[in-house]
Amino acid sequence: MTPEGLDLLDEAARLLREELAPTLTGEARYHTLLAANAVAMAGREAGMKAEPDDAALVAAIRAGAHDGDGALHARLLASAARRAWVADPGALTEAERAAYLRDR
Amino acid sequence: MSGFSQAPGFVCWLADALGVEAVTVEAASKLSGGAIQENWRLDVVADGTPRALVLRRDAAATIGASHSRRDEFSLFAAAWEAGVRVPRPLAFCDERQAGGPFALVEHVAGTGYGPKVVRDAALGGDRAALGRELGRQLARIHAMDAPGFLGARPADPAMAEIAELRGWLDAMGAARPGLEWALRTCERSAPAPDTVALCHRDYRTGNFLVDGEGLTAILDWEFAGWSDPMADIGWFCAECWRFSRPDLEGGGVCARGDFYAGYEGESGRTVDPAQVAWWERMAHLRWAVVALQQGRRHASGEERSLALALTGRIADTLEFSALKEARP
Repeated sequence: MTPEGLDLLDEAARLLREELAPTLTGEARYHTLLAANAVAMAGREAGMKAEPDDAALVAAIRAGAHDGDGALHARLLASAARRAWVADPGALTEAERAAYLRDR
Repeated sequence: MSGFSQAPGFVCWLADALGVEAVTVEAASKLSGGAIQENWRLDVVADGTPRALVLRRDAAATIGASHSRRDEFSLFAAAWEAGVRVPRPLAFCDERQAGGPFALVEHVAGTGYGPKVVRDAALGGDRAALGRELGRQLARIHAMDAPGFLGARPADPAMAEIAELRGWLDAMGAARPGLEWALRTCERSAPAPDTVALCHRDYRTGNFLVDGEGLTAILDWEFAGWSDPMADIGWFCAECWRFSRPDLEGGGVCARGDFYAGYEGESGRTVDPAQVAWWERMAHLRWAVVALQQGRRHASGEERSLALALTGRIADTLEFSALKEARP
């Protein structure tokens, strides 16, 4: 997505959260905040590299072939950190953002 | 949607079920909550006496482990017999012409929404007493005679739990190496099999009702089944169900010690903190897989819902924290 496209999503999320939601109550406010969250999340995800599914790796982990594999753990942790940030930026500390989000 | 409650077949069935001559349904309203069931509050007049009832039936789409409505009703009846605080079970209907299958129970007043129960100090009465009562109630559940439909007891509940979660991931076609790593780490440190009992398997803040005085009902029995009693304790204490009070390790409502004290006093069983810690790690993985299932309900078109879609993303934050705790 272009920077302009990302900016559209950012601005739409801000409008929903900061301008519209405070004027609403109950279900309408809840759904507006959900929508704001979804738009912001899609914006964060649009800036990420897609990660391929890996069914063979799943089977190998279950079979114990990667027990104690520090390099794999580091790779899985970095991938999970990026997805956790997409879902909820507050799930990462400042240090974790610095460590995992440089190369997204 | 509420049309069923005025259908002659239903009204006829209701009079029989309540053992009355005449009944009228004055109001039917859908209660909030319940991704799996629909809950309807029915205000009826039965032989001149107003009564509040709750009718539970399946929502449009249901998740893997939930029992049929009939099994759930028999579980409710067993819990009622065992002195567990559940809404009084009244009758079960599986006849299509009355709008079945559904279960009918007495309405119990109270607030259940987890974040509100945790946040609102006016609810639940004295919180230490509430914690002890929740512990006592759980001990009574673990002492219940299990209805026949539960099948054979697993020899090793910890391994059965891991196998179940892997099965759910496979059924979704979800390749999640991060969750698999955390599951494998749990598998390698699993506690040896000990007691196996009837467990609630969704015993947490959000699934019981409180009023201003204290506990009024334990709800959401659809996942009940055989497991290690420590699994329920770990699920109750897991951080994901403490909402805005992660410091209150007893489900965001009390100190962990209050909950344990009530449980130990009623059951005569000692809570092993190391085993509970293992089940708390499993609780986060279970919630991650259930969150993925909910996300799939939206993505598959079974039930389009932005709330379900966003719930699916919770799996990513849970996977990240699980991997931090599962370093090689």
